[in-house]
Amino acid sequence: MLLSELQTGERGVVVRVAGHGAFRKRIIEMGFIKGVTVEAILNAPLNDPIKYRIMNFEVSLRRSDAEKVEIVSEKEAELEIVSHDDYRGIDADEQSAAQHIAAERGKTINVALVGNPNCGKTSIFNIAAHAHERVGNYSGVTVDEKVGTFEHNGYTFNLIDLPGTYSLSAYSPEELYVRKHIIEKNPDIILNVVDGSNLERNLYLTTQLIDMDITMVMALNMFDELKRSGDKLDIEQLSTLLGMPIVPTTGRNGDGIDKLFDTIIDVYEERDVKTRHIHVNHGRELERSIKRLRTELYEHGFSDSLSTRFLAIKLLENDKQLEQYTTERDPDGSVFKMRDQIADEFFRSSHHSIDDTEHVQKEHGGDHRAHQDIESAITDAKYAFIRGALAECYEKNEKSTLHAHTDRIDAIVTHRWLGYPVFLIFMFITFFCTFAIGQYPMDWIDALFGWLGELVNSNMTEGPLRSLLADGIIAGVGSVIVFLPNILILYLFISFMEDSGYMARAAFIMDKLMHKMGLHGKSFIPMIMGFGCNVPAIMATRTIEDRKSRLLTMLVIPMMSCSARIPVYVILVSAFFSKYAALVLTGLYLLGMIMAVLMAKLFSRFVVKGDSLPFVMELPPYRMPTAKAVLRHTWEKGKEYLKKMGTIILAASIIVWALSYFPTNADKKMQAENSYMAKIGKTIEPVMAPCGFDWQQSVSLLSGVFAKEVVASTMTVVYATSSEEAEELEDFEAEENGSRISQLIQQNMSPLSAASMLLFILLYMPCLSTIVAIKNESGKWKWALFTMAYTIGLAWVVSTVFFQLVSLIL
Amino acid sequence: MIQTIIVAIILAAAAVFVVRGIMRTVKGKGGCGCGCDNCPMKGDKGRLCNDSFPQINVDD
Repeated sequence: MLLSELQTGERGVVVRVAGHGAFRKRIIEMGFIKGVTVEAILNAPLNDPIKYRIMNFEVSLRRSDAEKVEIVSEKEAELEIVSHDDYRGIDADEQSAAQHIAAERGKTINVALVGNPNCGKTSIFNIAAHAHERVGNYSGVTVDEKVGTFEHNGYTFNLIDLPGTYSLSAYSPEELYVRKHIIEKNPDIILNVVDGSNLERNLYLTTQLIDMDITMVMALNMFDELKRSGDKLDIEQLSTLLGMPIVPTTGRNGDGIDKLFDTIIDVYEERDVKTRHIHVNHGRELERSIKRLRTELYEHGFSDSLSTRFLAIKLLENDKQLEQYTTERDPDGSVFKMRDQIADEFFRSSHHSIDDTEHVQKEHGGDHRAHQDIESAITDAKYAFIRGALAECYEKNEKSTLHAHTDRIDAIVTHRWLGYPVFLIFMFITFFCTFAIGQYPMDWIDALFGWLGELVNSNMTEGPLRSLLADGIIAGVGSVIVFLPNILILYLFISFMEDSGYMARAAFIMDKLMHKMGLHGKSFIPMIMGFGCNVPAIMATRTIEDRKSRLLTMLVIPMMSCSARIPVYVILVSAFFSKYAALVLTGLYLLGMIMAVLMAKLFSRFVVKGDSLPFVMELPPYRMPTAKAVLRHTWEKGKEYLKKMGTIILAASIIVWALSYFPTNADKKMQAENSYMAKIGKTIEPVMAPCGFDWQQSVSLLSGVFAKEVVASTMTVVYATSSEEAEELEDFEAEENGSRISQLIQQNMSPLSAASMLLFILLYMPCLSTIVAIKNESGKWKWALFTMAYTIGLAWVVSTVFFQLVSLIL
Repeated sequence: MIQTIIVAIILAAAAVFVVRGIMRTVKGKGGCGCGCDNCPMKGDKGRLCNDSFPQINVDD
């Protein structure tokens, strides 16, 4: 609980003091240190200040200050000791109980990971917290906070992985999010992860964190790359200059992680000698301006929750969000008057020096800042500080060939003309391997489920339970589970492309095309994520700053073929187009992307209007993905797929079987034709007939609303229960005609109808979860319903036109 | 008869599972269906995500 919540007469023990800088120092100097007992003497509701007794003297604190002190009250300790077995043996009536619990709680450290995108925060998080969060060699993989808890040397760590950000300005959602977290959640330690192979740019964020006056430890990540490059860095010197301990780490293999958390414990316990608060020197004139504004902020009581230095700098930079924060506490606007006056003086003094600086430039060719506004001057000053610090401790190896291979590969894969065919070749190889290699284990799993079905049929008496097990559960789940190898192979390739850094290049070459079609180049990352699952892809659009591009991307992501559609594609492709499987699959994926881009163009013209922002995206160096990371990601996906089999696919197969089995009839054909499923299917059949679909295909598509894999299981169950030939398949043995399911489909569908169905599945409405995700992210049901309507309409039109045209030709 | 009773029980359980799943999905509590442990749509995580990360205000 917080100190402010301690009622009159109650006592508690201090656990920790949040806050920063002068405020924290003042509180600690007053005696509010870990383990000290404090008593509330007068805490009347709504009264300010509150009176406390600590170390035998009385102090009064403002309620807002008391909210920064975490305590354990004796009452709370008493209750906790009674309810927890861990505390058995401790006398609940004594003050020692609160002391004991306060000491325990004081050993919990909240650490927030903050750093540039793609600097390896999530890799450190995964190793430290033994988690399996998604990582990738491109920016924007983490879009929300991930929390992991683990023990290290007797301390409990709550590690929070935040989205990557280049700065703490208020330009993009991730910048705002990270800043908000630091200010509002007050983590005990900020773990600033810095890419050792790109120090100068990464340290810019560090200088802003220093401005915030928070306790920090730096992880100098990718240290292996720094060493390989031959660059020399005096870590001790940099640590002294920045006033924080620096620990070299390699997130890929876990080197230095243990030492990193040992250092965090030392800093938390205030044992680290390197930790000191420094000021990033912005130059004499700017420092004077910052000081003047800070004084004004102090006078308005801004010193408790946010560093006044940080606030002053941000106000000088015209930070809109912090302006709003300031307005709430400064209704008469005197802070803003001072800010505007300072900015005006700074501008005038810059202009005053134009003549001088132009003269200097003519004479010496040096740079000048005459025309720069205060915001650029602050940025320049920060970079000057970084360059100054690095000049003292860093020596770059100019002959380094570390990233030479990146340049050589980029010359081909991001080439103006070659880039596109290379992308197509990668996609073709991916789908060829997915289909060709996946075919063998697929046949084995299929044979296993065939054998299971036979086992049930031959050992159980005829009845609904036998039919449920054989035709419903085994046929339904088996028809989807056989595609597990294909899913694993596809993810193996996607993981490799993501972790190596190729996906960022794919986004780069697509930018021009995307921009022409009204989309942001950054839209390509969520779109690629859509190949896995549309839901996280919709959420990943949060990294797109521009509202219009964000909404447009969200609306077209359902065109990207998610992994749930693969089983349906592979069933139909292996039944009818197995010779051209890789080509057909590549074509489908490409068609999805083309339709997404075309739809974006259409929507940006007629539905979502607005200006789009320029595209800025980092191209990370190529890195050889570790087998562990790629295999782990692949296995995670496989695990998710199997989990789905035991839940939604199983339940859907049972329901589809019931709807196809009841009402019962002695004649199997009649039973299928009169079943509830047939009634539903025949009701919608007239609408779907122009696309070339029978009632079985129609109900299968309808069931896909819940999850796309259900289309495959429904098709199998419906055909298995309605087809006369199905019984013959009981004696089926895998041979050249393809799998048992493929044969069933071949007997009931024409190749043209199958092709039309492939198009329909590619384009028609996404699953229910995606619809809800669109509603949540856009904030309106309107856009979710719009997506449903337009995707169904588009799928129907494309399938109908295709089916009718090809029917005419053939 | 026993077969019919067992089938009825399985069917009821499946129906409850599906209906509950749909309700939870619509309310944004059930995850996206991907089944992963850290599904961004799931429970508190989904709410946290939606509350704290800036979203589109389509009326802007």
